[in-house]
Amino acid sequence: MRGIGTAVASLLMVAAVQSGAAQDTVRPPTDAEIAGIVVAANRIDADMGEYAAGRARHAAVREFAATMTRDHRAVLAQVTALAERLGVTPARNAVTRDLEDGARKARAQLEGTAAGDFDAAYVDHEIAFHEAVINAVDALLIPNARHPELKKAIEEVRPALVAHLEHARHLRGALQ
Amino acid sequence: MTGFERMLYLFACAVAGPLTSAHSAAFRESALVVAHAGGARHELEIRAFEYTPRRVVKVAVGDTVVWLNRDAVPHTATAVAGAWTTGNLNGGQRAVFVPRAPGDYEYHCVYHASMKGVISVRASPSDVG
Repeated sequence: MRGIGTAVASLLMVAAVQSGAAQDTVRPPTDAEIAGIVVAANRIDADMGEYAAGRARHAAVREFAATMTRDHRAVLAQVTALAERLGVTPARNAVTRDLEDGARKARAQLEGTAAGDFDAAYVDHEIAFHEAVINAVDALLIPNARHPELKKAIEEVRPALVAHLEHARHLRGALQ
Repeated sequence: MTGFERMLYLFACAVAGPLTSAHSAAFRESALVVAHAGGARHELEIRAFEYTPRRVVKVAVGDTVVWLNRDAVPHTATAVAGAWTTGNLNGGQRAVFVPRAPGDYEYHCVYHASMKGVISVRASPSDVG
């Protein structure tokens, strides 16, 4: 089941590496594409949380899943409002499409997971997802964001991602 | 918390909690002055998943403690013992608490277990260092 998260992690690690190479060979993402990536990532994890909250057996996992939905929906609303105010229309690019493809595969894999294995599989996914997103934030999104307010908004979201990751790791330890 | 304190606290939260506009903010401030005249006011921020000041705020009985959530995501400030809570605080929202008895009030965010704080309440302003 580690494969679910690994697929997402690989995806964003590639994005991060591409960002490093962007100065020479690859066009860095525009603010519209960065906004699109942020919107997609938050929507994906909010939706995943909603699904997991309905399936998880342990109350702590259900509460974690609800927190993921609550927090990522709040960030989604904030980023959407900011983009609108700045006149930036979130745009899709290869990273966004890969994120969405990865999310569909992860969801399908979780749907096929036996009830007794679901909680651990979901938390593993969340650990990998947040590790990958933090990497992407650090290597791709913050360095390439041009508008100061967009950059600041992403920087301010980073502690939430770190807190989610720590929460997921703690939860995983408790599920052992 | 006595019945009166709980009523006062709930009143303050009811006034402060759901209001977000600039007009409402002015109304909140007026209401707080009416409800808690005389005590000092202590402003705490919730930012980057931390209460700031993070651990201890020395206040006197009857002072007003105000939390302002600067994060995009919702938080709470909830007594570990369960006696009181700000309820859900969305980004930009405030809530207040007026302690009526001395003691160390440990609190946390019910959504994010890593967020913890303590309000150290003294019997009178002269006891506050």
